[in-house]
Amino acid sequence: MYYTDLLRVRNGLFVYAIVIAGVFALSVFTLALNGMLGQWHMQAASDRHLDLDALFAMATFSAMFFTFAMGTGLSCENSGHLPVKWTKPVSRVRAALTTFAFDAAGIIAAVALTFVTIVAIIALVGGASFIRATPDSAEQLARFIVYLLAFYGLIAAAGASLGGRGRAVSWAILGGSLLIGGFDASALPKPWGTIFTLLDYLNPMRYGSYHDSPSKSETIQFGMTSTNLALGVDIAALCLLAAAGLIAALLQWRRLEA
Amino acid sequence: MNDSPAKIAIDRLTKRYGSTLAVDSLTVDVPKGSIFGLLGTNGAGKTTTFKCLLGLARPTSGTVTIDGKPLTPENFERLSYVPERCALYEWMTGAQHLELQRRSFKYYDGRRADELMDLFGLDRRKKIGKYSKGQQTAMALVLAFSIRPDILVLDEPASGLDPVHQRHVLDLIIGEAAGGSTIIFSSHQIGQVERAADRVAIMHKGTLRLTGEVEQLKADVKVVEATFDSEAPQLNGLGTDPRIGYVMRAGKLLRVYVGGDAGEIAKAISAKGPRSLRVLDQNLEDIFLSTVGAAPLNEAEY
Amino acid sequence: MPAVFTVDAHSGVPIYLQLIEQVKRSIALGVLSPGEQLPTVKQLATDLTINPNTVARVYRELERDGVIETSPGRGSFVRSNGGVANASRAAADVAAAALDAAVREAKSIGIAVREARELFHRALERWYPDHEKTEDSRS
Repeated sequence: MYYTDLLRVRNGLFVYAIVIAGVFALSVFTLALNGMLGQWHMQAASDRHLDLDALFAMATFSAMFFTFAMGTGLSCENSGHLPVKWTKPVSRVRAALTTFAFDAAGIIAAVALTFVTIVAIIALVGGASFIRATPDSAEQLARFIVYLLAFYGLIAAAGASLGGRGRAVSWAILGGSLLIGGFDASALPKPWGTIFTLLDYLNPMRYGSYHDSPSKSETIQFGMTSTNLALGVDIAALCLLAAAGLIAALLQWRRLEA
Repeated sequence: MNDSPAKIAIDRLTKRYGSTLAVDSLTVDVPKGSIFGLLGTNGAGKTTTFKCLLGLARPTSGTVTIDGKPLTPENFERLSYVPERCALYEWMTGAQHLELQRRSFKYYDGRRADELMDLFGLDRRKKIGKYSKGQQTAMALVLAFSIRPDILVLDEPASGLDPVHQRHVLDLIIGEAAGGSTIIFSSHQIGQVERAADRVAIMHKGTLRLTGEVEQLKADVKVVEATFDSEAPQLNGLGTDPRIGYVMRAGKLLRVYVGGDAGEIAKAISAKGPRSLRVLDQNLEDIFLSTVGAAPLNEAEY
Repeated sequence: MPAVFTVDAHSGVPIYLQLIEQVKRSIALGVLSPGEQLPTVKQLATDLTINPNTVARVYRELERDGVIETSPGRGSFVRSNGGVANASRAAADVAAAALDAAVREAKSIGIAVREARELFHRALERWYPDHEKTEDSRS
């Protein structure tokens, strides 16, 4: 029953891995050309550090594209495959939950894969010793994972009732997310300003921002806006979004007709 | 009428899509071990009926039961469905589909699957998307038969297949039925239904027009054909006989479609002094055409 | 199984009737001998590509007509005593029905009795070339 999901995610990861490998090869090549391999050649800075959190953020940014591609799992089934998917000795709900589980595992694997590649590149330029963990590194990682799952949930919810058009919806959500963030940041006059601010509360990008530690002087954002809330709140909000999306997708799935 | 419930019981099934009534109060029983043929033109409601039967669509009203109980996921351990249009994953290979079957169903028989793959000449290494339409149908059939089903629901199982493979499909269906499986299938090819089915239901525009045992229908439904010296006469009182389904008059020729004792009707017509009179047999195609092309049986046109 | 049956599924005559007639005919003619085993229901259904229930019905009716006998677990066999006689009688019925239909057809076309008899004699002459001569001299 899960075999289809396994294959689908595996194939997706494979394609993603090839792209990452290509980027890796290109990076190494460029670095080699500029003679930057081996020793750390960049400006000497004794207190320069590379936070793990930043690396997680970079890995997550890349994995966003994987997420958007994978998020259409349900809508792919709905493009003519339901007579096969729904005539198995497994309930619709269980089938959908299995799809969610495998997609989530795939997303996490994509993050891991990207992270490893980034670390490898850094090691090749002699910067491995600069990498350090911060007290909240693990939680930041959790936040980034849930950030991706929140988008996954939204895509699943938006596309569950659609068939082949689900793919387009996926990228539309990305675009919409950027736009909403942008409009919110622009502080438009009422009532538009209020509307976009409210919409931005539902925008995972808002909760995906990362503050440089320990000084918190820099904020790295995925989108245009960020929250100034505690990390725990960000995680909770993203979990809520993810759960809401998946539940909405499940409810649609149950009512769907082949 | 035995006490055990029909294997598949459809009771006043109605399905509406928006303003279109796809199936209108269909009631049909499929006994265990039967090969049940569902006949009808395009849009008659056959596919919709199957979808409601399998839980792929929700009936607007009416019920469908299997062994007297509503459908549950467990039923699918021993229930196979071959839809009209290929629903297989075009990005997966034949071998991967077989593996999917193996992991999903308790009673998957790998050896049987291999035999059938060879029978239909399918290359398991190719992706389904690269199969021809006939090969896709064949693959769906292989998957369906490989789980040793108790119930088979086949929607146009012969579409796209060459005559040799069509014969294989019929043989497989008959073999399954001989082993006790219950099969319900729809087909445009009346000849296939005529051979293999013991029971048939003819649908038209969503309603059930005729149902019964194939052999019984052939034995019962006859055409009384009479020619007269002048214009064929009206039937008058005789026309109200409930056994008469349809009357066709063309100049000197009179044809009366009878569902019942044709001999008596023939005698009654011969009293009107025809030049010639004979009673013709009706094969399933004739029965279908007269049921669907004309008014339904029991609605006369004089 | 030496006997090979064929059925016309497309005919307006029910398959079971066709098959019953063919089996009886085979027995009457000696193609199937008394005590000989018939194919199983599943075998015959698959060979002819017809519904197994139809074959089962044929065997039931043949048994009812005293032409075959079925022992559970062993199969169906041509009845040793009386099987052939019953089959022959049935075969004769088929011939009688065919003659009756032919005469009815002739009458409905408008052929006179004399002409009908002439046609009949001509047919006899054709199919019974030796016997016709002796009987003709009497009529």
